[in-house]
Amino acid sequence: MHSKPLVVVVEDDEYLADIYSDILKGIDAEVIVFNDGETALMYLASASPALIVLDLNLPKYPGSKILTFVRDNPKLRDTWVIITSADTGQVADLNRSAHLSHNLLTLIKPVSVDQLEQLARRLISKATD
Amino acid sequence: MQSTFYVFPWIISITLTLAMGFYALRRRKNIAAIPFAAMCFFATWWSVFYLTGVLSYDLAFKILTAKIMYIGVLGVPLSWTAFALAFSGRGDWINKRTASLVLIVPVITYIIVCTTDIHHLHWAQLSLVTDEVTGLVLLDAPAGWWFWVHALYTYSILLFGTFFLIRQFLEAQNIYRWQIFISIIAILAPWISNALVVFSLITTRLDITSLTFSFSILVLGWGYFRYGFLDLVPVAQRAVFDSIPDVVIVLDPDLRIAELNPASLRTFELGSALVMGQPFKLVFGQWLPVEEMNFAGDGFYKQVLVAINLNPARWFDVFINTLHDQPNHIAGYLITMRDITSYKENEAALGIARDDAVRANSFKTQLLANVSHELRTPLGVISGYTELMARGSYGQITEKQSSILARVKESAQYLDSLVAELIDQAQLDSGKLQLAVASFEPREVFGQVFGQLTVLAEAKNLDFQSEISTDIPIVMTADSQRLKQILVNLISNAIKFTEHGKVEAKILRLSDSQWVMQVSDSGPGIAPDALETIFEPFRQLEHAVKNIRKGYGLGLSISKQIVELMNGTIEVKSQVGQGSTFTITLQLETDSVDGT
Repeated sequence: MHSKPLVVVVEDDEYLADIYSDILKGIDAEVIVFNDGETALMYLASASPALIVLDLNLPKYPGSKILTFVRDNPKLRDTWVIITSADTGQVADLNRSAHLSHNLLTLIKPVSVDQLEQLARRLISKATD
Repeated sequence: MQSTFYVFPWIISITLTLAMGFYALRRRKNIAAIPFAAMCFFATWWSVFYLTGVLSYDLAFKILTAKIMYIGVLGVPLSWTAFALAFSGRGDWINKRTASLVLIVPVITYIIVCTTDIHHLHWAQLSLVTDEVTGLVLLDAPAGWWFWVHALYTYSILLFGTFFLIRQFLEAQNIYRWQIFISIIAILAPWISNALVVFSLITTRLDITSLTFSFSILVLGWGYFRYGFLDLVPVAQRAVFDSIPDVVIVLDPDLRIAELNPASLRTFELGSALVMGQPFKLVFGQWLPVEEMNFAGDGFYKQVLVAINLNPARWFDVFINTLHDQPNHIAGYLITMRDITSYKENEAALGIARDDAVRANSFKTQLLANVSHELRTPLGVISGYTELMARGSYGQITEKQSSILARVKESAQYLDSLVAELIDQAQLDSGKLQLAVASFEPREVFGQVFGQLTVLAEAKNLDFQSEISTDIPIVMTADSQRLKQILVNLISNAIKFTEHGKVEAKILRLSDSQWVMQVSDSGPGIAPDALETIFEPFRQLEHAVKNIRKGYGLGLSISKQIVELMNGTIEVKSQVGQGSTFTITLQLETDSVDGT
């Protein structure tokens, strides 16, 4: 049981994961970081986070597969997801799918601290209301 | 002079044969035209002098005209035979040597004719007689023994020519058989009439042989007009077959080789004597994997790789067609093979080139994605930590540290915008940049841009004015991110290059179907030579203030390319010392929503 809202961060770059974690902790969230998609998927199978911050460009296991898993899972279907990506084309492809783009927002890398902070605060508030 | 209506057939025939002769001369490029023309003129000669003799009462005159007439009598069979040989593809038999041999008897005959009143060898006697049928006084010239020698000779050469025509008839394709048939009919007529005269089988003494030869010529002439005898001689058929560069093999209904063209003998290095009549599979089976079943049906096609002796394998298009001489009766099979080795080699080369291009394109796409990710990730780390430190997330910082962090952040942002523009340019170059068209509220989107850049302008004490026209729709459909990118580029350029005065940005409605983004400044203006190249990539403007970061020259180029992707236009008006105005005109999408 989490007293603070749970945010799952899936980002393979350690430093970026650390920055996101610091930003989210700054808005009083509990943060769990995964550096690879497979482990994140195993965790998400039984978790109910308030927000997921997901890098699309993960090695071995692409972020789009994790997103598909989330949207296909009845427990996670409505969970807000912030996608971080350097590739606008990849993001555009995702947004073409109504199923995948449900409750989805995008931040293009490099992610602004202020932007992530404001967005995360707003979405967590929505999720916990 | 005798007058009689019997002259009319001769007058008509003379006219027609003469005309036919001139017509044939106009076709003299055809090998058969010249002997035909000669036949016409000899027949005309014959008729003219025969008629002249008939019309006279005088014996001496009749004898004279008979002798002159005999040039025609001798010339017609000779030219007929020459025509028959030329028409049946044996024109090369007619040369000086053969002509000299053939002319021996006619020359001797003519000498004998001219001197017959001395020795009576050709005509036993020469006298006048009244014809019981026509009432005309005619020359009575019973045959001497040389007459029969000449008659035998004449019939022999006529028979010789007719033999080749008949053979041509039997060998010819249907298209030519009518031509040959008409020719046979045409020559039979004078044979018959001459036989009737020579053997006294008709009651009149009038010699109609010249008339019937004229009839023959007219029938042949009709054939020329109707079937184009002189335009396409059957001999051309053989020449065409022999000159076809593709392999052509004709099989009989039992799949035995009936005919091969020279190209097939060359290609397969065969001797025709060895293969004619042999089963197709026995000769070609080792090279052509064609089964008996492939000869059924209306046509068979296959591309075949044939390994030929002493040569590398070659590709052929193989066609098999069934030949019919009558409906539902197979006369044989036609196999044609076209060498397509060069085509196959080109196809393979193109295929490789295409695969290389696809691989290169795929590689470029992957490279772009990788470069984007690999550059932006560390940039994110730099700006992220910088920002967090500046906020005091890792402890209190001094003013100096804060100032340094601001410079680090500014540099990171500069690098980030450089990366973004390089990636945009790369995507534009490879055609991979796609517009994300969606509905957006222009007042919100452009208002954000104006708000952000007002801060920038105020930092330089510039008066920044912005306007969104009231007739701009509430909702528009376009790639709002790219429009923002373009607007930010234009306004930030204007602010960067303007030291005093103002910068204006306007969003205006031009018409029902067009709208405009316009940015103007009171900066130093752009020189005419710089104006010409301002939208080219990596063009940088000189600036008086040296420490201004001039940029890397991609912003306007990318903006122009994106505007053009949107089917819009961008133009600049500027005068040195009087500022610049950039105007972008775009199409208003039909599902944009106007305010009411």
